[in-house]
Amino acid sequence: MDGLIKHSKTINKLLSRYGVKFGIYKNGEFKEQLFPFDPIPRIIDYNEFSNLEKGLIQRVQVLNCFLADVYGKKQIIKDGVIPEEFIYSAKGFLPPCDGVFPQKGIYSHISGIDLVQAKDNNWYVLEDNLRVPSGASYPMIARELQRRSAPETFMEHRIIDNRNYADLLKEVMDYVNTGGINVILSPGRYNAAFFEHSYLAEKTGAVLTTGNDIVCENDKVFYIDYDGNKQRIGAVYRRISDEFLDPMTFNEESLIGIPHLFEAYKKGNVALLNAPGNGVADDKGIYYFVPKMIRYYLGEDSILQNAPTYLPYYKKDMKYVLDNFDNLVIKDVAEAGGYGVIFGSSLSKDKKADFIDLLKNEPRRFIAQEVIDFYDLDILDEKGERVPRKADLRAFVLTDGKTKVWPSGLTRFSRNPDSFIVNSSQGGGFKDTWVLSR
Amino acid sequence: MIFIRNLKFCYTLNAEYSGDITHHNFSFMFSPHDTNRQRIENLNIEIADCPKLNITRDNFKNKRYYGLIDKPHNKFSIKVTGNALTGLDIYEEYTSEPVEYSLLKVQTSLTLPGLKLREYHNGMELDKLENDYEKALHIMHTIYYTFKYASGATVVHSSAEEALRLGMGVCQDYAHIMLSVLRMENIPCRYVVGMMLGEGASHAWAEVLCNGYWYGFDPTNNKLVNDEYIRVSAGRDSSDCSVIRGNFYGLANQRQKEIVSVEDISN
Amino acid sequence: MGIITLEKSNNLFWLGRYTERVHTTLKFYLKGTDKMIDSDPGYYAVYCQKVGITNIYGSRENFVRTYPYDETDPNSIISNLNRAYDNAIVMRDYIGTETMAYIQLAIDDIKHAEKSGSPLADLMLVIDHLLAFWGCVNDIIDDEQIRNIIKLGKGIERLDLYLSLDKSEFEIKKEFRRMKQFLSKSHMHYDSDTLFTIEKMLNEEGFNYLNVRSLVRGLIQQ
Repeated sequence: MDGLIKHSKTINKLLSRYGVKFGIYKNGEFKEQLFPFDPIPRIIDYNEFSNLEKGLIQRVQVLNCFLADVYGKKQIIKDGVIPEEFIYSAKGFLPPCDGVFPQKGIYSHISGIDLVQAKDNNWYVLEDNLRVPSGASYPMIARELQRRSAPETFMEHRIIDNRNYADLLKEVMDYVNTGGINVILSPGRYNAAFFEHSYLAEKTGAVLTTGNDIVCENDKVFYIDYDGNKQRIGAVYRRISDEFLDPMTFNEESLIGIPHLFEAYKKGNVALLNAPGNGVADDKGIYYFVPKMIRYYLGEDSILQNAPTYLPYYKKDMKYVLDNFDNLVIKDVAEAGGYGVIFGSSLSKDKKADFIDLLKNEPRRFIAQEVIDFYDLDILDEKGERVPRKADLRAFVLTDGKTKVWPSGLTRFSRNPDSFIVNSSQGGGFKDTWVLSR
Repeated sequence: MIFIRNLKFCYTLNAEYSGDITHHNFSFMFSPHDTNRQRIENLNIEIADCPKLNITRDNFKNKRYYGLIDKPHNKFSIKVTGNALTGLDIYEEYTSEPVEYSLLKVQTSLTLPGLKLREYHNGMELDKLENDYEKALHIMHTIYYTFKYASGATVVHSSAEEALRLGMGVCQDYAHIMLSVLRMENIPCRYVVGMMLGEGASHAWAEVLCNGYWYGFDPTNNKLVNDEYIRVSAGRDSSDCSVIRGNFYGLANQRQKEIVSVEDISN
Repeated sequence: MGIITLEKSNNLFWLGRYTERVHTTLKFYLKGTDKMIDSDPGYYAVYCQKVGITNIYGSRENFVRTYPYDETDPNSIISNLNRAYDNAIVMRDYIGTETMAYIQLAIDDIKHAEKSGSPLADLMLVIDHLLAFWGCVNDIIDDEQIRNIIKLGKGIERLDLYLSLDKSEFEIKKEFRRMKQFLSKSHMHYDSDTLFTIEKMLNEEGFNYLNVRSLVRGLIQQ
């Protein structure tokens, strides 16, 4: 590890050489910046990872069951485990997906589960991302460049190689492919994660496209070459959100979608990764129910814990939230990327009163959580000194015939000592995540 | 009184473009179907110059026609004709599983109430009424007498709350306001697109699930949906029922005209 | 691989054009700055006129200091290099991260030169990295058509610039011959009548550069 710190300049130089950046909109202008990298890795030992792995597999399998149920028989609603209005008022519940079955019954092929480790060493799930979770490419390329910069470090430690992510991803695409090529559908050059889109396309051998060269004809999807020849597409790993996917079914104003793509999908002629409509399962309000789902579908206890969460929707919880407002973090279920997060203690008296009014008027819109006492990770500050910072871990879980956990993950940290927000769009950085092989 | 009427209908949509367009994808939804109240006969749908027409059904059982016209064109037209025997009953549909319609109890972005609608709802004192049917009736009356018909005041994407603040709007706004109030009462209800006896444009109203039966209420005219109405499609709100969606290459302005005529040809 | 769509062919073509634009204008800029040292301090005005950009610079010092580096000036060298990058990143799956890195390095070179004590000498690194990029195109990209489209873009751009910069007839003819071989190999659609006319004109001594240039600009049908 000292080797990495010693060579951190070299690693950063290589990251810059390979353009490891993410995009950000500032004052309406698109800018790309290097994703700040910290050389001190997060280290997860073998036993700990095995336990995490079991918990993640259980969770993702159940979330897939839940999606199949919600867009199918709706047994979990009929049995009263989750109040129906939580399902139907979730922004991510898409009526057009009702009764539509994806290829091989898989809804969430690529799941990004955000976890934190608390000071008691327990891992808590903060959020499930089942729509278009991003970030795997960063530790992938960072590992490659670290091995080149500090090979001795990787000789000394037994670290599972994480550069197989693209192979895992390709296996998933191939597994659900309905016959034809794999493509990665990106919203375009000016998307925050375009580096990742282009990098994963290169590494998986899928074709990178913005959709302009794709046409849907008679419920089949084709890629059109320069001379107008058509080639069938069997799987679309789409990195654009549901609402923009197909202007004929979802948002009509979408310019980046492919008209009638949804019909081709509905008829089983193309696979979409991830399935449209997954937003209902990673809704912040539904999150509360995941441990209940695990019990309901598997009859098991949840291996991974949720952060203690309250739903103001329930009278009892509302009372708790009002009584303990200053100790809680309140999240707007419709927001993402670290936005819409309010720490009760941070509000002025007036703002607090206003917010409580809003909460009472729209209880379904918010969840409240206990602030977890994070186990901080060290980073190197500008002066090269170790300082502790809040950090989370996005674990990537891939589902084809089996559910597999990528033995690594994206560790994001906050560069600001007082902040809990680790999102790159808000100035966070990343670390490599080592899983030790024994 | 229930009549059986034979209504002959003709729906036309003509679009003209100021220049040639290509790669024109469209999706069209204006296909009336049988309910307990109406039976559709001789249905004919003509879509100009589309080499192959595909059909799909959405989750509200509406039929959608869609296709792709690749070659350059500057006109596009659709014509739907047929007969509707109406007044066969007073409700559209019966269900023994009202729970299947729970989705329709939830507000959408177009029906989501704000302060104004909440006050409006409170003012109706609906808890004094016996059942959902009575409530729907009262809501319809209230809207009819307190909301003013005016075209051009609201736009296609105006929400119920926005329309109510203005105090005026068109049939779409009447229907959205009614849906919003019904949903505050936790009553399943849906937005309906259809036609009414006479000449003009398409119409919209609300359908309400009362004790297993779906009834149509037309707040714009303060009428229960009867043999003068032909039902076409339904959804959570107007955005689920948009008649036409299009997407094409080419820089062109679009002019679109919709004409509906419904004539009583019963003897 | 092997599927090249209209959009991708455009990206490859412009990748070739922009990298070449940076390469040739930068060499011309280095020559121009030499002239401006003593023999012709006002030469930057001529430079702008020849390259076909608006002279917004006002003084020799300002031109030398901003023209290569100013990202807000759409005609600056770095702006053209950024456009090359934009066309490269969308083609990462075709040209590869290794190839792309050389454009990134060239961008970093310019930024570095801006702050350096001897910017002109440091700008030469940009040319080194562009040459490495061309080397990668030949060495790494396996698909012949992809290579040929990039080279066609490069060839067209060079011919266009050489005609603007009044290079010798000999040089023009040489670049035309080089460009022509990629024209057919790239499978890009072009106007064969125009090609024929250009060839005919080049065979006459004292041909009109501007006329040839406008024909070259209309050669590829996009």
